[in-house]
Amino acid sequence: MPEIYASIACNLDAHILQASLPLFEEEKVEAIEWSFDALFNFNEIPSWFTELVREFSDHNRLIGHGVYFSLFSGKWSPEQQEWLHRLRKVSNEFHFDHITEHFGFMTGADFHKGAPIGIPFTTQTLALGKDRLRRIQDACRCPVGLENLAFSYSIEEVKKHGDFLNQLVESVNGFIILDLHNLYCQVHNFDIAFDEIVKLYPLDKVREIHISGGSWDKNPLRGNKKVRRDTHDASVPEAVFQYLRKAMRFCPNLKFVVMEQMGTALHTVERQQMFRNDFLRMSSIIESSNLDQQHPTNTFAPVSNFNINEPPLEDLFLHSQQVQLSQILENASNVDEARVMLQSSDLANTAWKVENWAPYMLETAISIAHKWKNGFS
Amino acid sequence: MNLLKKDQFTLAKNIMKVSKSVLKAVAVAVTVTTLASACSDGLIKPGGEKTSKTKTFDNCPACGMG
Repeated sequence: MPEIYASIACNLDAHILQASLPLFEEEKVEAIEWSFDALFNFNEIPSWFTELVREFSDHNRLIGHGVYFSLFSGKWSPEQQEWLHRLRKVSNEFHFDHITEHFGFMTGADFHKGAPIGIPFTTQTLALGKDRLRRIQDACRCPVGLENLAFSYSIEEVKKHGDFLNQLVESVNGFIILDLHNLYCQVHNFDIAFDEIVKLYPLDKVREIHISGGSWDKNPLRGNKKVRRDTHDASVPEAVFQYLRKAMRFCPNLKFVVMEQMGTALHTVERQQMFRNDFLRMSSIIESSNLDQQHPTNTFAPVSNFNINEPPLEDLFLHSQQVQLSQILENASNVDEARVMLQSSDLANTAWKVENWAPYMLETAISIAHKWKNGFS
Repeated sequence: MNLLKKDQFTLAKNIMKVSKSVLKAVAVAVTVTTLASACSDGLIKPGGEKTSKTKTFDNCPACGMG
């Protein structure tokens, strides 16, 4: 595997920067991942933050992680066009080693404010995803990747996610982010072993790994078991460090391992110290694997054999289903009500397979949709 | 012995040094921001002021299970 950089998700957030500053000073942070689109709505960025990002950019140690594009929205939106325009602009200003986005479509009024929710794995959605990835790559002109989603409605969906991601990114010689805490969620939420689930992903296409912490939700629909959520507000679980050790061995093209945590969870000195301790532990795991460096088998260089001037692909029936699903998740007061609404919607008896959705995961989806209903701001 | 040499080489290669002036500017900005409001959520708006308590910002709000 190539050199692997111990990285942090670094954004314009006082607590994250406070927690990270000693690591920067000790030269422990080898790269940063910046959610560049979180600042698209601001006219100017403080020069000191720009300079920090530029230092990493100038040393080829900057990667970009988009949040708001909503890859699988069935209808092409002006916001997506504007997002691409801004990505092109920011890519001219900074050198990103690669750009990534999330799988799924976003709930919320305009599909750019809510939480990402999965989509059915069909030839139509595959074509839609490929179209969007090509447009992202055309705008940033660097390797492009997608992150595995933490949320799934069913074990069937969990088992097919890796293969679908593989088919998607192949079209742009792309890669995947393997988020190990997302897998940790699925291990617990669907009672599947990590060793079983990880082999369902195209590990030769992993260029980036995420680790983070999360939280447990009590859910009566699961009996005594809790639902694991990827809330990024706690220390990295021991099991996730063990997953990292295991997974790295099977990812020959891995280049970045990123630790993520919410700034809102780093508001005390103690929590900031725990963040640094987790980072140093991650760093030591990477250092030991860096002893076995080899050349990458794929650099995920952009491809250029597609015509981006064609109109964006749309699936208006999918869009209609997404509108209905968003409304159900945001307005249903409980699972029973949501199930009745789903059965009378255009999602019933379709590739969405709403009939097979685990009730406790439907309740979790309702909870997530309610949480992010009004967006991030 | 070879292993040790390779290890040292690797570590030297991976180091990312951020200039002292940039680190100092970040430290000052973060300190000023923190002192300005100890109870706000921490997101710094361009221009230096803090966002209101109602503004929430997630490092990565879109990973799916937040």
